Amino acid sequence: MVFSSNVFLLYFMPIFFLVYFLTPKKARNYILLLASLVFYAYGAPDFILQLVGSTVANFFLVKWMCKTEKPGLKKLLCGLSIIIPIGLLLFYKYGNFTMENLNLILGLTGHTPLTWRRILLPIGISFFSFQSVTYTLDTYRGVNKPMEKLTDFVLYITMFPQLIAGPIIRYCDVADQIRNRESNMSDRLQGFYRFVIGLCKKILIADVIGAQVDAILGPANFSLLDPGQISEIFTRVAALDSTTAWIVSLAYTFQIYFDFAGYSDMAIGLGRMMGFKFPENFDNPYTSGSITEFWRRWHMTLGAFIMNYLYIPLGGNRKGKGRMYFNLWVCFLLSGLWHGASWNFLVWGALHGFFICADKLFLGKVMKKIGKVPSVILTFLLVNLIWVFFRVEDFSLAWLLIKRMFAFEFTLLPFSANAQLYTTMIVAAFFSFLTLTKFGQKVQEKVYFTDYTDGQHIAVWVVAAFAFVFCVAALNASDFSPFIYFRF
Amino acid sequence: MKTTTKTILFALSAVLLLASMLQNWLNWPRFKPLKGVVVEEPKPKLTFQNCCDGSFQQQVEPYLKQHFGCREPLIRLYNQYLWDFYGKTPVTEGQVLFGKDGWMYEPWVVADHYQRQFRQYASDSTQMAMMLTLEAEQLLQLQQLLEERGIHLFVCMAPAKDLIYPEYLPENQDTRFDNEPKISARFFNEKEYTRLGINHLNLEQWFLQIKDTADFMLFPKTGTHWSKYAALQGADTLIRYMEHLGGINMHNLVIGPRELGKAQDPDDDLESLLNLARPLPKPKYWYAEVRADEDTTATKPKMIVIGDSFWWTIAFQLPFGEFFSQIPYWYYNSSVYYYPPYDSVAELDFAEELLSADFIVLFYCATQQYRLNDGFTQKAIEVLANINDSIAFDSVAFIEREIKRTVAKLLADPSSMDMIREKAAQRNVSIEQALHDDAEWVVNYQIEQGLMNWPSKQRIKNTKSENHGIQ
Repeated sequence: MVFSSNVFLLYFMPIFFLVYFLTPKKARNYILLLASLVFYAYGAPDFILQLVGSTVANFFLVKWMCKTEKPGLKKLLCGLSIIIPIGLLLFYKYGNFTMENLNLILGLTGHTPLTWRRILLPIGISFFSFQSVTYTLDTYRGVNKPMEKLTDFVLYITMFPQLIAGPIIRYCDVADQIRNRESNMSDRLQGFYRFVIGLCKKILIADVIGAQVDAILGPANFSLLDPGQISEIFTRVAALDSTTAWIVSLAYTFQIYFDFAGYSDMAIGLGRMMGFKFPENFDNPYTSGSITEFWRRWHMTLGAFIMNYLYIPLGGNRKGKGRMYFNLWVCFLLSGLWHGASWNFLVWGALHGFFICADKLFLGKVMKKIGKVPSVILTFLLVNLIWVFFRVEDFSLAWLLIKRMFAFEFTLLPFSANAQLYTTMIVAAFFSFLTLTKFGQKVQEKVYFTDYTDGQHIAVWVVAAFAFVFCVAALNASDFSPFIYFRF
Repeated sequence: MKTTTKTILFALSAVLLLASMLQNWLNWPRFKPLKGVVVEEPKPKLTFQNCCDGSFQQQVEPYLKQHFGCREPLIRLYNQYLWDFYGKTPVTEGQVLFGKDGWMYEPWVVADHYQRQFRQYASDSTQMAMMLTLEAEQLLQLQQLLEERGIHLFVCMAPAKDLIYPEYLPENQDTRFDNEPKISARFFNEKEYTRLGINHLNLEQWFLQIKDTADFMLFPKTGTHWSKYAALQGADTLIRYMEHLGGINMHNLVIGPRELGKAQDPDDDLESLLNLARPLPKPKYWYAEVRADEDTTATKPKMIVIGDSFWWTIAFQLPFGEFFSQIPYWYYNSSVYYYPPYDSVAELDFAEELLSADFIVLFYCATQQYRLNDGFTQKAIEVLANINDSIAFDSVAFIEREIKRTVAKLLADPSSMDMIREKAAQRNVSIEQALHDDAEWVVNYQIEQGLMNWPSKQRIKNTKSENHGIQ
């Protein structure tokens, strides 16, 4: 189940909150747990038993790990507790990728390719497997005590607001809130506003832009297309003038941000309505003056996870500069692969790793010298170019799009030709770069992080209520195209 | 005090979230229904099995999109936003084109104006011409078979908006496929019907003549069908034509006082597809009550109408009972209207219905001439061929046409043509000969297997072909 669906917005969410708030405080975690399991089972009925099974196993392994005094056994149990979620992640997410590449090698070396049944990827596995790892490691390191109640641990792993698209919540950040949390009316209302902001980002910006990107680049995954359809996409991209090619790439740059940030906002908002304080996941990433800064602002919970559970264990910067660059690059390669099991994600991660290293070597200094605005523009354009490899799975198509962008065959496109796309992109750009100004920073502070007065609550509520209604309307009307009469 | 405000707002949030579900459950308040037709999504039935395999979940979202509470005002709200800000709604992406001065056209009507519509029905203009000729020849045979039984068959071509009002057509629509051969069924059929002597009434040509002298608009600005005024003119002409064709006296139309008023269905059918919250500004249209005169000598024939939606504009106005004894309407030769208890052509005794009619009219708009009467002609001939009466059936002509039709189909299929070229080379005959032989084999095969409703059950004589594997 996704947040931007009728099932969630018009049925699941209202019923859940009605029951949740009518239930005595002590029993609310059970309601949330039950709802989370229903939420996940609805989207991935095949996988729910494995999710619950592996979570229960982890709970007892960690409990045992904490009880035992033997260091060897402690390490073994810690390893085992990490292997279970990571093993599931590797199997489900990278099984097909591994087999495809293995068969490619077998074919090239004259061997018979192996047959296998394609594995369906359970939604959210990348997120909850990482959360499970944070639980094990935080407990192992003594940062937090293990959960006493099994239901609390299952709730931490499966909590529906962040289950399928993050933010990745470290155990230490939320452990106390699961056991005991307060939610006042202000939290509930501000959570609702935050949810609606996220919904607007997703439905009114990302989906509108995304439809236009798909119309040119086709679906992100070509596996469902026949050769004729793929060839049509290539022909279409090859015929693009440079203006349109840039518009397509910029459109995707905004789409991915508003989609992902919108989803995070919705998760944070839903959590806040229940009294949870989930960590922020985005901090105006397109206002970054370097790739390093970009990664401090983009998908911050993933960055924190990689820093704490991969970069530092690999040695971080403690083992010399050469090793530091190597560690950084490995982290970004794996980060790329975490986003998706195909080579284009690896290339995307590798490019980011390369520019992070370049930042540390010289690029960071250059960016500082040229000033804030030019460095933001250059970083944005660089990020925009690298997103092409993220969006287009086929490497030759990605390269073709980049070639069209730099073919310098610019044409003047009338605004009226695609007014909705251009308007939406302007709105997206406005909100992406708003915080470059002090005024924008004040607005952000006021909207997101300050308590409202009664009058402000009323005004914001009216806007939020209309926005919610408008989003539901957009969700359902955007593809409503009836006929006058049936024509047989 | 502060808590009270927040509590009220929180309660209002709950009401907001529950509003859609409650409206759906209570069916209150009721909203103005949305216009247009869509394919209804079936209501998914929840079972353990379909929930586990995910099929229930896949069906729920499309179903809810059509059935969630408060749907109508929400869709109109978003459409109005799109219209006000961008001058479009989802239907304008494919179903409505905007011409000059706010005039609206259906895309296929515009496509036909530039003779490109045939691409939906045939691979090229040559094949389309072949199909239209065969249909016309078959129509002639049907006309003769019916005439011998005292039934009058005729074609009535309703006018299309693009030809009557080309001055408002959208710009930049005539450039695509400019260098390729084109064909327009409306002009092609007119020539063929005249050449073969098929009874036909071309209202489009007549409307072109009266356009400048007509008192009112023949097509509404925001509709695709002819105006109610034009439809009455058409109905009057149709009745006069029937009198002439059948040598009978029918009732005349008596038109009551004319009134100018707001657009009535279907005069704004294209606009209504936009499903906006506010109606668009448009001129007033002419409406009047219609009845039959009191001529006691007039007869009321039974007429079967096989046609498209242009007939509705007549049907919505004309009190049929005053002009016809019965007037079943076979919509696209599929659904049946005005003929209880029948709903579908498949339910009818086809032969009995044909023989009980005084008139049969093939009533399609000029831009729908590619549809070849939705298979009616072919089916009617097959049925009449099997009626055991004294009237002769020209089986040779029928078979020759079937072979030609099959040749046209084979020509349009590249893989079949590859095989035929191969066979022609193997047998050392021309491609044309191989093509004809295979088509003949296919027709024989259909007759032998009972796939064609054929009376003689005999193989075509002088067949040269063997089983060449084309099926």
